[in-house]
Amino acid sequence: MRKSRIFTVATAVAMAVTALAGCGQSTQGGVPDDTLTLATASPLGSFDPVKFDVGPGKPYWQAVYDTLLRQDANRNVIPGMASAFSYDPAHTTLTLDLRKDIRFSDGAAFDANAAKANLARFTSTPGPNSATGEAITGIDAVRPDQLVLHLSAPDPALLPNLASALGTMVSPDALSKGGFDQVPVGSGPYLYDSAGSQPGTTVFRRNSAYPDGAQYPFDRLELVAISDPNTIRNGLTTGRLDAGSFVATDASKLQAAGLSTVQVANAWNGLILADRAGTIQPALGKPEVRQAINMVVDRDLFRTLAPGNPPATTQIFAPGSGAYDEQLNAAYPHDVTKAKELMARAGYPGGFAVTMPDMSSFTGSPALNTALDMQLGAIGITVTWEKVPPTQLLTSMTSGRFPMFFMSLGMKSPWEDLQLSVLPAAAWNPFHVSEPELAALISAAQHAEPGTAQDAAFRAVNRQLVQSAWFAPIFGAETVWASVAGVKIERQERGYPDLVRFQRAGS
Amino acid sequence: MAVLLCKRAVSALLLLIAVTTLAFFLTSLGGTDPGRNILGPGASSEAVAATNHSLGVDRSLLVQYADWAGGVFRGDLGRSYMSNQPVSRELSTHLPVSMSLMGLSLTVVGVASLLLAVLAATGRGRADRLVQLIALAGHAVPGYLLALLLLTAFAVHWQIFPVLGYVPLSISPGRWLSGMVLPVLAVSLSGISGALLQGRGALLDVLDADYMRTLRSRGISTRALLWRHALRNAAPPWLTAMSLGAVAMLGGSFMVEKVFAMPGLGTLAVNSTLAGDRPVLMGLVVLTAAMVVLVNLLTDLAQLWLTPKARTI
Repeated sequence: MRKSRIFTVATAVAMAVTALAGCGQSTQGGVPDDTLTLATASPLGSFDPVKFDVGPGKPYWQAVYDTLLRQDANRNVIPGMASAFSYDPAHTTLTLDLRKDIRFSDGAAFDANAAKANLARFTSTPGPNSATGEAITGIDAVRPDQLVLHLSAPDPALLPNLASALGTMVSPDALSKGGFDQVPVGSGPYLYDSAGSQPGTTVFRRNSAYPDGAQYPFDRLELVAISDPNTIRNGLTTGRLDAGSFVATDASKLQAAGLSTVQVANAWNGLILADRAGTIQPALGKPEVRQAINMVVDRDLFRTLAPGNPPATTQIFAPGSGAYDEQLNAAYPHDVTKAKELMARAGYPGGFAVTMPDMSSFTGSPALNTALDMQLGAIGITVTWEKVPPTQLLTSMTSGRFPMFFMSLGMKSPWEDLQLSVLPAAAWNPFHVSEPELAALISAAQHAEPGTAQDAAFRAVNRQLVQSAWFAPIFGAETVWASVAGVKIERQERGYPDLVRFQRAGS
Repeated sequence: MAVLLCKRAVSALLLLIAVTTLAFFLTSLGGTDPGRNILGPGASSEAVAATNHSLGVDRSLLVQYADWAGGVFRGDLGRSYMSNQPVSRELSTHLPVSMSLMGLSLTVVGVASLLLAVLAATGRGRADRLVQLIALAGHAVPGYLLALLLLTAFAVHWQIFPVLGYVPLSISPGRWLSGMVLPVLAVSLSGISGALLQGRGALLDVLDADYMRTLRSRGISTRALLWRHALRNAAPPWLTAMSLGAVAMLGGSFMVEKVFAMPGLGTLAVNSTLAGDRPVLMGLVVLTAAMVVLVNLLTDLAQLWLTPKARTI
């Protein structure tokens, strides 16, 4: 009797919970058609352009802000809040003609003074993106609808940067009052709905005043911060999410679950042969040694270690970018005999010892270390793997503590990639090495006419980098974007898809 | 009684100070560079140095600690390096999620372990074996695995409960509860096992005691015997297991939060660790240490209330 009563109570509780669960589900099962629910690995951060997360956090700020310029799916720069833009022949003065039909969400008008205030603040405020405006030395509001930027030197990355954090426009009133880092005041396609947002879920509703609203088919945007790929897949297959991304994932498994997929190149993985001047490891100062390393690395084997069968590569530039040259991928076939000859020619027939930071905590397996041990060992290079605390890893690499190391580096536009890892002051050129021939090619590319001529100049830089083996790239990394039926993700050449790439299927 | 409570409160405060002090100096051993973390690898060393100076992290560690501790005593936990928001605001955003998970889980653990312990101790035989099997399963199956199994069955396959996320109680009690069912079950099972076995063992000892036979011989009903006398005397070990379970939940709920994409304190801890956001990390240490101390204090008080003999110790 007592036991039966206990079970009766337990059963009643279970039934009540299930009933309540049913009530909850009725409002959650499947998203309404006018809402785009997007999973992003980045939690909600700052709405201050200087602090933007220009990677997975991109949709947060692209929802509420507009930019002076925009980029199409092929990453060509197109008009944005500026209806036209042109360089002077020296490429040190950029003239932007501004649109007159734009107002910020607080009612303030967009004009040259507003743009100037934004750029002046950006270029004088320290932050993770502030380097993108370093070339700007002067900002002139010539007319209410015209802005002129003066540069210290040609900056091939300026236009794409004006389509990103640098070109993001905050209401001038909000700029002077502050607080926009938490409550954004922009002129983007959506308005931040702080009342409707919950921890981990940020909600935006359509900004009816946005002049190009037709490009954004969804009335409501919901961004859910999730980092676990299984959770994202579950969210997609149950209809709780509309789109999400997966790193190093086999796209066919997602397709088998009924999802549409788009693959976007976003990084290269391989060795940064940083000590090209031989400062702490003289052997790496010899081009033949660096070439031998490129030749002894079996890229096809490494591809099997990474999920999703990523493409092999010998170059640091993104496929589809102006600098990329498919033929260069044949520059270093796997040839141990030839690699040994190169080592002998460089004066290191017995190889050498080198210390590298252990990345197995990041890769999640010792397979990478084992493969590198075996392959580099084939030409006598013995590796000592040093354990470095995760919080110190990047600093240890960029400070010149290690002569070479394995790394995964993001790929953007050619000039941005050079700024990141090749120029003497680049963070990932820790020994600040510069070679005259390479420097001349880089300068030629920097001053070249944007378009075909500049692409050719960047390809020449790429050829030189591959030939002198500054790096030993092994395989690319692709992000797989998956979406449910009814949502289409337009394929973007590289990087995280812009918010405008998420469209209704069939549109 | 009052003296005893004062002693407990003072020892709790000393423990809190010791834990937070140790944590402060331990987090400084990581060698993180807040300025570099904020500005990124491309920033100049001058800009990084200026940012570190503005944050005050270029001062000696003792000065930093004194500054931080003084702030804590004034109720100011500082500002996050990454968001520049008050740490208290960061914590208050994530706290309701973890409190919902812990509160409901403790309720489930308390009720379920009590009922099952009673069932095992009074039913003996088959019921007891069944209860022990449940306890064994609770110990054997990790919360993370159970979370995945529950999620796959009830959220993905049958779609009875939501697959991810958290809805605040104030927005929709129904959606809040439905979203909490699976995470709470996943977190609770191991807690139930610990408290259940302690409760069962203590209850069996009490029910077999001489004074219980005496009470039975006086004609006191079995129900009164169990609920009024036996459970009260068997409660201390069960309460201790409950408090240990509550502390374990604080640390163990992160994986469950991750599986269900719940933005609780575990998620905040991981994000702030990866970002090297020491003020937020230290805020979490203060909060969790205070919670542990509070749980222990409440357990002591409950023990004192239930067992008069304990008040003389």
